Amino acid sequence: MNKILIILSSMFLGIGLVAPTMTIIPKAGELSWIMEIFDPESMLPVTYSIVGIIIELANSMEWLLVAVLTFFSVLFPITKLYLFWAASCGSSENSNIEWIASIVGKLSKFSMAEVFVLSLVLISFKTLPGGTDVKLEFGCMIYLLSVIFSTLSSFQIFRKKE
Amino acid sequence: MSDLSDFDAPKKPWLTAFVPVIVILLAAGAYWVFSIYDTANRSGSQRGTDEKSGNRLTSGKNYYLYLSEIELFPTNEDSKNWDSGDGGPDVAYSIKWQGNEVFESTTKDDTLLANWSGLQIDLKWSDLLGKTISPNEAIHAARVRYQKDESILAIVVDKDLAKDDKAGTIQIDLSELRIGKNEKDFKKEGKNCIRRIVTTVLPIDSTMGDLASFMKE
Repeated sequence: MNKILIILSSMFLGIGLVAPTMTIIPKAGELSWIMEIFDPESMLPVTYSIVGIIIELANSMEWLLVAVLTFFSVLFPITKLYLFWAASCGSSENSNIEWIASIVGKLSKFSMAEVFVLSLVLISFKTLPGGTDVKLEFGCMIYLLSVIFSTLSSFQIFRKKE
Repeated sequence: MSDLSDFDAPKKPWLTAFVPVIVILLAAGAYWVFSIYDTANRSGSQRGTDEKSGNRLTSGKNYYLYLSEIELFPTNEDSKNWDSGDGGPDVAYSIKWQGNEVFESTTKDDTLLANWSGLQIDLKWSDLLGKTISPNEAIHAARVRYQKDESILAIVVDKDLAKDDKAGTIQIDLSELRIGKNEKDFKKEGKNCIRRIVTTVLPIDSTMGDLASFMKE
């Protein structure tokens, strides 16, 4: 059962990383139509996936944001699932399992961290002037499903440990 | 106690733990391939659904219409220079639809080859204190409704201080026009001094982005 949860979480994480996460609809207040005339490309809605956001930030040389987003949205969830799988594979006699379980225990405290970071990014876009709008896409929901399944998986591992 | 014995348990959990990583990569790759295929299909099916450049006008629909380019012959109807001295003509045109003048262009000074973009925002210094500009003010074009067998008159003149000189009057059948640019050449005969005109037609319900990309050309 636990492995199924981890596989589902992995599938959703894979899709969630490359599927559209948010669409930014640029506006310039009352001057929107002028911008559409003189710089129509800058007024086109842009859809990003999580990987797309990271690439875009890298292109803008925002290395701190790239590091934070890459760690919390990509590396952290993958490492977590890797350790969950390792923990669910080993027997209780295996000496490493205790150590893995303790790491998993610590990691689960941060299991919603990636959602928190995404929320921060969204809020920062929401406060843009001129009525610029951010629309969440289905990729965000798929990513959230991955987090939910990995959380359920961590509960299973803890129950097994107890 | 676990149901698994040491014999049953995987010997290298660190290695088998790469299963989720492989699943993540496979899922991401599969979605990526699917999205590329889907995007290619969608762009193919969307082609030709909207009113695009080259399409004929639709009856009952409103359009922006303006002359984006007028080329005049080097001499006027009397085969003389346009202006005294070497000065070229100051070209302007107006459009008549259903017997009424519905548009008058700005004047392009000293040229045989005049062009208009269709987009223009006139600002004065006093406007810096605050001015609201509507999209209609920025679009410099006649607004006409297409009906079968209808036509417009394009009256081209050489603007002068005393009296404007006629360069020619062209009747354009709306049924001949297509969305986008329509080029037509003329011979110098009678009172016609117009060598070529380019009529640009755009649907009035186009997005500002579409209008801009057409009109800026």
